[in-house]
Amino acid sequence: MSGFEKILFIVLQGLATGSLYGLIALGIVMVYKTSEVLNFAHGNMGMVIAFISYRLMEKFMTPMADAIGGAAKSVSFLSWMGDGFIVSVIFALVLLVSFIAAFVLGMIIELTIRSAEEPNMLGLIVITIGWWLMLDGAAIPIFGTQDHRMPEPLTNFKIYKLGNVPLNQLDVIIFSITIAIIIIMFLFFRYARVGVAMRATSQNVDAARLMAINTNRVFAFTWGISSMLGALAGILTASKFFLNNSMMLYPFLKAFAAATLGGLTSLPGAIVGGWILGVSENLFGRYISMDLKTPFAFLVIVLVLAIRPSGLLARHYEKKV
Amino acid sequence: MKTIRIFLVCALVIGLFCAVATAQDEVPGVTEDTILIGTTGPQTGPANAWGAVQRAMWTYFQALNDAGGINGRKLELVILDDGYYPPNALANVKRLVEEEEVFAIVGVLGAANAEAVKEYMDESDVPWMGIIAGHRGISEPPIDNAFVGYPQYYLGSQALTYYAVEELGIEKIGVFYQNDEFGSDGKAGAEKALADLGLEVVEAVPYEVSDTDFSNHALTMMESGAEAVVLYGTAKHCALFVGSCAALGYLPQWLGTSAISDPVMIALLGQAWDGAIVANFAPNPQDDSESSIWYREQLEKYAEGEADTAVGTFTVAGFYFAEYLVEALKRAEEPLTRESLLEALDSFENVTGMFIHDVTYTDEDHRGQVTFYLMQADVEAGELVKITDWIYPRE
Repeated sequence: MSGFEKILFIVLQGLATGSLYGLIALGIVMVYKTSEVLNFAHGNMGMVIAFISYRLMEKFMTPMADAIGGAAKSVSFLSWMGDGFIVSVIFALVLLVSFIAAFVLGMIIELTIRSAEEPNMLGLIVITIGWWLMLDGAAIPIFGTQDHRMPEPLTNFKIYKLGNVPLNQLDVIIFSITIAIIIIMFLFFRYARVGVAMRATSQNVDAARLMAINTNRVFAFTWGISSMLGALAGILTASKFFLNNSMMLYPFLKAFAAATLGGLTSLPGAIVGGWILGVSENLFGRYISMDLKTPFAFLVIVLVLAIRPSGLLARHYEKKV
Repeated sequence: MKTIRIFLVCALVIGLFCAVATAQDEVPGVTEDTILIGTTGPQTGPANAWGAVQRAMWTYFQALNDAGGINGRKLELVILDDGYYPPNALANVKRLVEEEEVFAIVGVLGAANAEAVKEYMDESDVPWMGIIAGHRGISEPPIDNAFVGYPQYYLGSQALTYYAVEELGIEKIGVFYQNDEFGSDGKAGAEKALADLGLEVVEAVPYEVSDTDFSNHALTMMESGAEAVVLYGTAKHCALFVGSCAALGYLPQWLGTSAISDPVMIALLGQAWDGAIVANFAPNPQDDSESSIWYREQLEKYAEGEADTAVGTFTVAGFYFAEYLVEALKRAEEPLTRESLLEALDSFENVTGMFIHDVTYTDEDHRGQVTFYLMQADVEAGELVKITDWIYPRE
């Protein structure tokens, strides 16, 4: 690879990892915008759902594929269903079940937040930290402590070549999903009733209530969607970085940093923050120092916040007394 | 009346003295038929996979107890959780010694944790063996009552490096290592072996435990042209690094530390791990040696849960490190006291058990086992195969 190709390689890898940070950060920001709570359990929520998907895939994909494939072949008009098609359908079902589970998990946690006796920010954060620890602790006896590789189709990805630069199919998928999520979020918040209701609630809860928006339902829904985003990020992280009960620890911390960088109240900021973090981490590591990669990332955040305290893309509010 | 009263008082005082004397003769953690042992390890937290080691020690003790125990005494194990966090390890050891009153401490997992506990153990008289830390600092200088179990990382990387140069004819060797005492001792060993042979490490790439993406590390190593890479890290990080190298089409000869000798590397990497060579010091948990067969039988009989019944590095390590204690107990003279246990350890000369191999402790050398053998990964068979006999350090 030429010098330029190497830079391109490093940048593309940074964008892929950064997209993962961004997806995780998106869930954090969504909840913060609406409920004004920093959900520290977000990473582990994604981890739990990733494990559920893993278990479902491991247990059901092969036997169901065999069963359906056998049945389909015996019925003439269904014989066009190839094995690949059947696996895809079952995989889609597994994802559907996982995302529903994620949504429910999000709603359950939101309920514990809503029923808090002392709903100040610190108290609510402590509840989310409690959930972080509970999910962490529960994962060990239930899911074990070993590392796992995700089963088909989340493994054995092809490697494309951009000239001499290798590009993993999974990275392309991650990036495409991120772009798709951005577009969906934009359309959702602009045009969907629920999306507009969420925007209204995050701007001013009381006014939203006065406008006949069921804000309790909005909160529940927000946490549900955020949890689904976390689940998506968890499954993709497991595919890229191996499934393990502590796999989300560092990605979550870095995503939190990315969210801060982009502005905790800006959804596009979360993604942009993720990209900036991912790419600058890699570039710094290559050209300056491998040891100081992580401290550097946090230094960047400190510098950005010193110049723009609300983060890069958030609207800046100054309280004038 | 006065005489009787004086007599009674004297009898009481003498009686009290006798009671105190007996209490002082009592050895903490030892009764006629039990011995209480303590250990601390990462049951939770980022290193929780290694928590299986302490639980496997418990499994090993159950097996021994069912066969009659050691010299008629059954072994009881208290496992405390330190989350791999050194201040917790120290707090746990204090609790084990002062509150649980254990007879001895076995294990303590991790270089940083062993270091945190070192000073306290040095000042106490509690026997501490099977220490699960192979960095040089734990045995240099040696502590009277501390006997290391983990064969030095410094020696393991030398064994791998000598093999690569002398048997495989590879001269361009790089090192990928975790940026802490464990990894840097591994790097130091490779550097020493190469210096002995008139060569140098071609590229040394460190990584942090918090690193997520390894494409940078892979690119740097590939650019160096290293034809073999010594890997000193955890299974997950090494697997991610190897995976990144494979994506670049770069597949040097992998030379792994014993920490990544577990067959999980085959599950994670598939073909990319084929032909990888790892150093090991405990029996190959998958092979047909007497020790391994016995170990697998006990695992099935007494262990529960996915992590604890898994045949692999973590569970066999539990049996391995606990055997230092068991071999010492077998040799300890009655009455069993901490002193007699320490004397037994001091007397170790070429001790080989079912799991430990050729261990000698001297006044200056508390390193424990210093020998390794090499295995090679055969992905199609899904296992690792022994390729050398025991390798001794060149000192």
